[in-house]
Amino acid sequence: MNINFLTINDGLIASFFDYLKREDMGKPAQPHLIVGGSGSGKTFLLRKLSVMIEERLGASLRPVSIEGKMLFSTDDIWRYCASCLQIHGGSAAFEDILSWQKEHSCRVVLLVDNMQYYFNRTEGSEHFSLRGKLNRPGAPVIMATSDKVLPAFTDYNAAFFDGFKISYIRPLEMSDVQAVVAQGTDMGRLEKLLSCLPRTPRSLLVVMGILSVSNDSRTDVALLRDWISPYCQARYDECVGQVQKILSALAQMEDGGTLQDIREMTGDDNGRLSPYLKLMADKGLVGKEAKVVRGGRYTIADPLLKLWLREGNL
Amino acid sequence: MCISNKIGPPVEGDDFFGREKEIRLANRLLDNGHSLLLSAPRRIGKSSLAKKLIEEKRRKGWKCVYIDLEETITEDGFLRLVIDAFRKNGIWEQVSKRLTSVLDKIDKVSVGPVEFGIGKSGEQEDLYQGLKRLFRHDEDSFIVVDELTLFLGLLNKSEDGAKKVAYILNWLRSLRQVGGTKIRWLFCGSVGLRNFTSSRNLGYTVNDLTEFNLDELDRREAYGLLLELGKSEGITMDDDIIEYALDKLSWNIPYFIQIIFSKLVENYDGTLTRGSVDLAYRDLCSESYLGTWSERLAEYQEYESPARQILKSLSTQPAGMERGALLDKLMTGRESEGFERVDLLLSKVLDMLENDGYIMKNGALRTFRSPLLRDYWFDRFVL
Ligand SMILES: Nc1ncnc2c1ncn2[C@@H]1O[C@H](COP(=O)(O)OP(=O)(O)O)[C@@H](O)[C@H]1O
Ligand SMILES: [Mg+2]
Repeated sequence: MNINFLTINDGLIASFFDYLKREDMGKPAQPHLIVGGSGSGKTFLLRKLSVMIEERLGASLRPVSIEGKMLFSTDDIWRYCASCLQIHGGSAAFEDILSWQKEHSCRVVLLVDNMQYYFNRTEGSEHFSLRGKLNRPGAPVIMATSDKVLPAFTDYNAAFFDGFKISYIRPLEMSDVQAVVAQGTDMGRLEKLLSCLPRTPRSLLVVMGILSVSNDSRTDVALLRDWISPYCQARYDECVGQVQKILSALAQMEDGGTLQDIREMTGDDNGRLSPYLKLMADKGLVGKEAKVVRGGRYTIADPLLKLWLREGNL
Repeated sequence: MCISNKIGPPVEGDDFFGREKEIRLANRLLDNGHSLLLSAPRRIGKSSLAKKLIEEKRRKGWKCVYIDLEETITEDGFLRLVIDAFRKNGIWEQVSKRLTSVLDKIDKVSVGPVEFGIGKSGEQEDLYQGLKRLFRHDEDSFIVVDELTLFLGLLNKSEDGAKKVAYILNWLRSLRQVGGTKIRWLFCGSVGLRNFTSSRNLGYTVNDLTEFNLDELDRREAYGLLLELGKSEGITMDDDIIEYALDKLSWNIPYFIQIIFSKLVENYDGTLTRGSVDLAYRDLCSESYLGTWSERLAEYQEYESPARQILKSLSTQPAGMERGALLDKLMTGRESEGFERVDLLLSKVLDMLENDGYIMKNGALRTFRSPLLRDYWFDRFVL
């Protein structure tokens, strides 16, 4: 299998490319945001876009890739960008970038991966400063990715309220998968493994790795559990004891359980359970169906964690 | 080049469409020496219009400056933006000897952070007065200050903020009060400058400004915008489809027209029907992030429940409701002695909802700011 043949995000890439091709150099550019969970192919998409820009629009556009984890302020963006352009010197990095653009008759395209880090770390005023600069005619174009739609994009008083054109990466479908897997792949086993994982290209890679070394369904699941073990263990270990207890109880129940079920399983009373369940819901560890229904069922939100905790029950 | 589909950033050049009436009115006021105040909800098209007016005035030979105060939150930053903008645009006299020392100091700004030494009030006074003397008042000039209330609001929270805010507002006023000045100003903001100033006893600093209103596009322009956008993508939009889409949006500010158009393009498969418009609209109303508007109400705490009551009522009334009708809703089923308390509560909640962009005031009527949010709310909490 060649993962490079996965065409899942090609439509998006083509539309971004088409936009860049047509964007007027002198106007404020349309900011783009690509939203998709971990492993959905955001980084891959940006890389591919970067190569396409360089190869086909290189005369007028210059891609600059920035990792969001490195950004702690708005100035970091300009400083980092300036250093990529090999501009050395002044503290007015943004002005330097504008001069560079003028000198090279070339507009910078900032490809910022994982921009949620920047938005979560910095204050609203930093975002306004970024927006103000991006809105200047001819300023660099920004195309960013984020794992979620953040309040920074939806709060009325946030700088980027309604400020990005947001595109969502769609989940991987079986038809995408069929197009890339080698002939003779056992689709039944593949599908079963994939059903435990988020519908992303990264999951497909993991599954293909497992299928290439395993011979039967039982081994598949055992191997998958092995693969995800470090991640799950880290998630589990960072929980306090009572939360671990509730997780273990929930893992015993096929379709999750009500507060009463959990009470029976753990032997704890409501006072020992409710506050923790609320905490777990806030942290996204458990999901609860429709709030309005009294006695709604709780389930472990992360299918991997559930699989891992159910060890020995399969 | 022709128009291109933009959602979010201010539009310029060929991307700007319509607003003919507003432009004509603004030009007439400016030509007659008025300075203007434009307060309107976000994304209505204030900055785009301001830039368009600059384009027009520049063509007439006026000196023009656009200052975007969202880029700063400090007084230093304010001065830096102001100085930078004016130096580049020839609104200032040839720099006189007297001030070269000030500007020298400022020149270093680009090399490293600089303290203007303001705070020691004597020096501050000198600096502002010095800058003031640089303005040429004998040439037709147009200065746009965007996001003024945002900046003042943040500055107000800093140390000695109230004093700084008062100083800047008075300084700006004094610039407008120079006898025979030919400089005209336009201040833009999404938060009302009048409320902001009057609640701080600074109303007098802006009472010379002429209110300028901005609302939806008139039907003809809204129609034209959608038609032009269609052309730019090679999509034929017939009469019926355009009318249908505009009816659907009901509040035809350019932003909503742009956003529904972008959805139409995204789903486009060669034909456009009323069904495609329905689909695009439904897509927009069901975007999962609209849910955050409901979640965010949890922060209202004791005001959450009345806020929900108000929003629920408003979602059933696209044309809007008067305050009295909303009061009736909140009073329903309560003892009449509670009236005064509920009346106060209503004012408070309406303010909160307006500040947070849920609703807006349109004459005597309150409506949802976004038709998309209104229909989302209706689908979710009424149906
Ligand atoms: N005259 C116009 N022609 C076309 N689109 C416009 C126009 N005015 C505003 N828009 C649309 O509204 C969006 C926001 O405009 P902007 O001027 O930034 O609003 P504001 O300053 O009031 O927040 C733009 O991205 C564009 O989609
Ligand atoms: Mg604006």
